[in-house]
Amino acid sequence: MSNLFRSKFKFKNRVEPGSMGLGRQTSLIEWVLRLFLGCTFIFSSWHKIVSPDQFATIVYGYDVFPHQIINVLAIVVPFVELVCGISLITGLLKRSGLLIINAMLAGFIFLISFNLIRGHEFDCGCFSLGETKGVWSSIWLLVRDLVMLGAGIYLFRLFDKKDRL
Amino acid sequence: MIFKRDIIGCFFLLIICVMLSFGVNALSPNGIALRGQWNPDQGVVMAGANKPHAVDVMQINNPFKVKRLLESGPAVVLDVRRPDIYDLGHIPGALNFPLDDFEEDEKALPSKITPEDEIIVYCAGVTCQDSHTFATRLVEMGFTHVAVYAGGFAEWEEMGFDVAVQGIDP
Repeated sequence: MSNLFRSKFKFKNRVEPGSMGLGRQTSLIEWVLRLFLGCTFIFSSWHKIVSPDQFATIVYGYDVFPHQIINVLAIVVPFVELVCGISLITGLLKRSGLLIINAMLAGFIFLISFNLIRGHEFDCGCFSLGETKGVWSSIWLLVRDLVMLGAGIYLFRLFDKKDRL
Repeated sequence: MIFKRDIIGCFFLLIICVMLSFGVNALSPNGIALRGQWNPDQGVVMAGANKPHAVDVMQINNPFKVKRLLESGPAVVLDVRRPDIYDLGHIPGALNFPLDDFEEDEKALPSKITPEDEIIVYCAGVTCQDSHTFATRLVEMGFTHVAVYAGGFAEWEEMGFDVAVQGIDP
């Protein structure tokens, strides 16, 4: 029994050769992803905060939302992007911030796919107001958001792994 | 794995976002109204400002009325789209005063129109707000009979009315 305990104890405290390097590598990947997603969301929120009227027109252009909530979405969504981006970079409620970012990305992917399937052209308004429309532009957006969602999910798993240690 | 504390954190962040966004929107000069005009049947769709406008520009939602005004009266029609788009097709007789070059337009306008003229301003369509912005500036400059053609060039073309191309009127 004591041998078993000892072996378990040893296993938990044993430092595997190269594991320090692996931990550092994971931390670096985590930081890069946090900066990438955080900065992307902060950057993309800025023009929407400065010109909410133009962003509202873009939200209208998606032709999905009820007219009553278009302005409210145009007012709130950019700040959700900004606050979650800051939360991810600073580390304050980073898990929650990342959850919201992933949920938003899933929402964007759904919206873009929905409009692509029904052949509705729209201006995404992601990084600048008045981006070009078209099928290929929508496909590119879809790929971009899928990559970011993949990065977001991977980052959340990294957070989980770190919490378990 | 998503924990209860993550969900509580999400709510906390969202509450901060809502408070911050409505606060900034109320104080910002670029703030928008809580409900906009998004019904194309009622004119140009737009978010609307969070403060009532000092200038309220009249809108014409009936393309036949615009056609009638053009054919019968001394109405001056201004196209505020970019020159390259104007050249591709515009309402016959329309003068091109792009909103982007308003400073230059401001100098050229008095030689083309007088404050007594009936002026109709249009741009691409119901989702284009440039005509409203231009018309508001005209009213501020002292032009009194200014109206916006809400349907814009998209509706005019859709109605099958005459279109002038590259400065050649039909």
